[in-house]
Parts: sequence; C-alpha cells; structure tokens
Amino acid sequence: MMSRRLTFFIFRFSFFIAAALLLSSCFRADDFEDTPEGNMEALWTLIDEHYCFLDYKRDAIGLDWNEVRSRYRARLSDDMSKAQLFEVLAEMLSELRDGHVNLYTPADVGRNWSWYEDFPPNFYQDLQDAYLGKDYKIASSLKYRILDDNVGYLVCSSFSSSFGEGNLDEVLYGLRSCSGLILDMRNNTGGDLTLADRLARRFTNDRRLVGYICHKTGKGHNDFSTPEKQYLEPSEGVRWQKPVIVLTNRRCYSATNTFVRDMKQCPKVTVLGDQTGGGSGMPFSGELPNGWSVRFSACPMYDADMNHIEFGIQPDIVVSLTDEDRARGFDTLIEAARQRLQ
Amino acid sequence: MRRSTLFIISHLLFILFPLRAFAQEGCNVTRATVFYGGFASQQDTYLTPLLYKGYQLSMLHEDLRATSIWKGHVSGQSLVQLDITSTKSASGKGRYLGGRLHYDYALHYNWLLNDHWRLMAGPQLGATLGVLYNARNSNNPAQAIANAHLNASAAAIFRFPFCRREAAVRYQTDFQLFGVMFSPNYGQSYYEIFSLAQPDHNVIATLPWKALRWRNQLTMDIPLRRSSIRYGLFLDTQSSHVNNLIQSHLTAGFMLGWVRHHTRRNTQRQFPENFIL
Repeated sequence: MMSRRLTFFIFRFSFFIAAALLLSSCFRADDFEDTPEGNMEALWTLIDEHYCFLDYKRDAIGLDWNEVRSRYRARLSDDMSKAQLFEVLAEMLSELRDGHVNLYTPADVGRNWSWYEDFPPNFYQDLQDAYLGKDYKIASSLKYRILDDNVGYLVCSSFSSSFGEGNLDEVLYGLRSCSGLILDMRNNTGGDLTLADRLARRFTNDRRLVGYICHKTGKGHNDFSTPEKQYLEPSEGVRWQKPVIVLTNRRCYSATNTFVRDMKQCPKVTVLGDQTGGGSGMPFSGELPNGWSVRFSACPMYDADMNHIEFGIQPDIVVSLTDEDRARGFDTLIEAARQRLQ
Repeated sequence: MRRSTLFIISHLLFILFPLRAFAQEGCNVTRATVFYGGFASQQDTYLTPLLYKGYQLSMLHEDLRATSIWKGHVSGQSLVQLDITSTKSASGKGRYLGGRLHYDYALHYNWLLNDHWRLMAGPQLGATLGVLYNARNSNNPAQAIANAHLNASAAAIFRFPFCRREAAVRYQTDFQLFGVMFSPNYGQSYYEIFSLAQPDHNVIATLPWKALRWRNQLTMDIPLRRSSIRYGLFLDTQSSHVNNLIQSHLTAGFMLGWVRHHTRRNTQRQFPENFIL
C-alpha cells in the first residue's frame, strides 16, 4: 500500500516537473541567424521592442518604423560584405535621428549626429582658451577663473570626468566675491547623470520639480510606466546665491540636456545661447548575432510640464556667435553674458 | 496570486526554519563537499537578447543529518552552492561574467523501503544572491540576482555492498514551487531603482510557470578509508519570465568531491544504523 502511494506520488511529481519544463521551454527569446537578414531583423526587432521614442517620433518627424523595415530589407543580399551590411544598418538606425543610437563595429560606429552637425557650433575652443587665459584654476574636470569685470567663469566640458562635492565647494567659495557666474556648458556632450545633478543642486535653495522619467514596461510602442517626478534637492554644501548664466549650444547633449532642464527651474538662472542638442532617452545596450553592439534610448525623460526634450531645450535668450566677433577674438555668448551680469 | 504566494512563503519560513533546531539533535551527520565544472548556457534579455554559452565552476557543500522529528524519520539537509560562470555570445564578442550563491535547507521525510532503497521527500527553502555582468553594455551592464524560493525536494538512494563496505547511488531533485524574486522592469534602469528610488514591480512573487528552479544531482558514493569519494552528474536549470524579461541559466556538469560521515557515540541513538548517507 505504502509503495503504491509512493509510486503514485512519484508519477504525479514527475508529471508536474515535465509540465513545468514544457512551460519553461517558452522562456527563450527569439533567435536570429547570423545572416544579413537575420542581423537586420534582430536590429529592427530590438529597436521595435525597446526603443522609447517610436510613437513620439512618428508624430514629430513622421517616422514609420514598419516602412523603414521594408525599405531597408530590400537593400539586403546574401552575398553582401560586412561593410555593405554596416552601411545599410547604420542608415536604418539614422532614421531615428537620435544621438543615443549607435551601431558599434570593429571598423566603424554608425551614428546620426545631425543634432549638432547641421547647426552652427557657437563655440570655438581657441576663444574659450583665450578667456580662460593661462592662470585659470582646475578643480578635477572643472576649469574656472574670475574675469576682469569680476564675473566668475566656470567651464564644465564633460560629465564623463568626475568632480566631487569638495571640488564644487572650493570652486563656488573661490568665486564668492564675483557679481555673477557664467557657467559654460557648450560642447559638453553629457556623461553621468549623477554629476549633472550634483552640479545643479548648487543653484537652488529649495526642493524643485524639474521633470519626469519613465521606462518601457513591455514590447508595445506605447507600453510605458507612469511617469515619476524628478526633484532637484538643494545641496548641503556651498550654494550659489547670485545670478547665473548658463551658456548652451547644440552640442549640449544627453546628461547636459538634463542639466539645462534642471537649471531652467532654478531661480536667478538664465540660459543663453543656442538650443541644446537633446538626447533625453537614457541609453541601453544590445547586441546583434554577428557581435555588433547597439546602443539605443530606453528611458525617456521630460521637462516639468511633461514636454519631450529629446530634440533639445530652447534657451531663455538666443545669442549666436558672430563671425565678426570671432575675428576680433570675442566670444559673442560670453560677452552677452558679461553684459547681463554687470 | 502575489499576496497568497507571499503569505504561503512567509508562513513556511516561520515553520520550516525553526525546525532546523531539531536537526542539531541528530547524532548521524554526513558532510559532503563537491566541485563541479561543466557547460553553462545563459540568457538575460535585460542585458542582451542573445544566448550566451560557456563554462561554470561550482562548489556544493552539503550537510545532511538526522533529526528527532517524527521518530527520526525526518532528516535535515543544508546545501550551500557557489557558482562562477563565464559565457560568450555565438560571435565570441560579448561576454558574461557571473557569480551566484545559493543556500537551501530541506526537511525530508525518509521511507526505508528495504535494505537497499530509501526515498526522501519534503519541503526545501532557499535563497539565491548573485550578479551577471556584461562587459560591453553601458547603462545596463549588470543584472542583480536575488530570490527566495520554496521547493519540493525528493531523493532516491540505493545502497549496495562494495568491497566489504557500502556504496550508494543517489538521485536528488529540487523543484521550485513558489518564489519571490527581484527583477528590474522591462526597460527600467538601475538609475531609476537605486539613484532615484523609484521601484516598479521589482519584487515579484512567482509560480513555476513564471520562474523555475530545477536542480538535479545523480551521484555515486564509493567508500574510501574513513570517508567516501563522491562523483556524479549535475543539472541545474533556473529560468524566469517576469516583467516581459527572460532570464535563463542552464548548467550541466560533472561532480567530484568527498564525503565524511560523523557519528556521535556519546549520544543516545534513536535512529536506524547508517540512517544518513
């Protein structure tokens, strides 16, 4: 009797395991072959299921991702070279007009940098160097000095190179006697969001709603989580209390775009220059069967009014760097900022 | 479903783990330490949609001892398993490095069918912590692994004479019934979870069709002086499909290690001779 029960138990247990294994065999993602068509399908599907701006860009720039698929599939052939396949796939991705979308191969990087290449630079390194002079100070990745008219000039050229709270304390304390501060963010193409937040926190005394962030919750183009509020908390270190002018150009991208979004909510802050380049989707990585790596925007961020900032943020005051000023060794944006801070 | 599963698991935690105290009363203890290496297959669609294949090295420490529960018919078994994996994509350009630490504790009811056969079955509670790192990714470079689970555990042991002593063949299977696991949401960044403290369905109660752990061991213990040599085969499957993300980890390999049996002679015996293997 006992052994019968045991046999029955073992039979049921085995059946349960077999059924579960059958179910678990569904736990496999789609497999794509390492062929031109397989790689294109893998790339198209990766973007189709994970990219966060398909619906927005359909409305904003008329992007039809299904039409893109059929158009680029027609350019494939079984005997095409790697370079030819790269050209097709890179062009397909460039339809997204997103600086956070890249195709990485050992030979080249597919990109669409039209967000700054199609616009005037409004920045020249030699001019910035002239304003910094030779006796500027360096606090980690930050460069700063006091200009002749007692205006502080702080250059933050990247959020990829770190700076600490101690650096910011020293910089702002060192510039405390200035009448105002020019924060030159031009050509800062982004990096670490926590660094952008660390810097922006120095310019508010209150907790401020600066925007929203969400993420995809499924494969559908419109499967998003409820947008969560993003707040800027005041720093516990030295906080700047005087007027600030943030200089921007089209190469202010990604984390710098987010920084400008946050700074626009702060008091005594004016954004001057050109529109930022955008890049409001936090990028994720993926991979194709042939080993090429893909980067794409995954988590969209919005401004405090829930507007998209993927294509950039307008400055409060539009100023362009003129050829005449450049010829005279003047940076039009810095000069405009200095006048306002007098 | 989530509430009821959490309710069941939390109550079993309260019931099963205090029972461990009875295991300390046991006079017969078997400790085994085995190492195994073998093939590993991994997929985590949060990191990349591709299947990676490679190798795994693991260590499994087992402590099996008698208890006084149900007149000594229940044994307690703790398993500590450490896995180190290195896998590559088919192209060889992507690489995962992973590590997992598993702890499981089971209480088995023992049926002594005859002089050769013994069957064991009972609940097993466990937890896993680990990380899977993809060397190529930027904002999603790693996946944290954390889960707790209730398993059904069963074993069959066949003992037979070998060089005037006893050898044993054992098959043990541990199958996950309920679990609680951590997972980021489909496109959620760790920046949102940890820097912004904005969770979104990151702790999930699971049933076998959502998350599966199935561990199998087929071993033979060959007596050698005072201890035994254990060798055998190992098959471990861990899969989940939650938040529209697929994670799977399959490993199969060969085990080799040693087993030591301890008997406390000062303790009054209340268990059958050679009860524990």
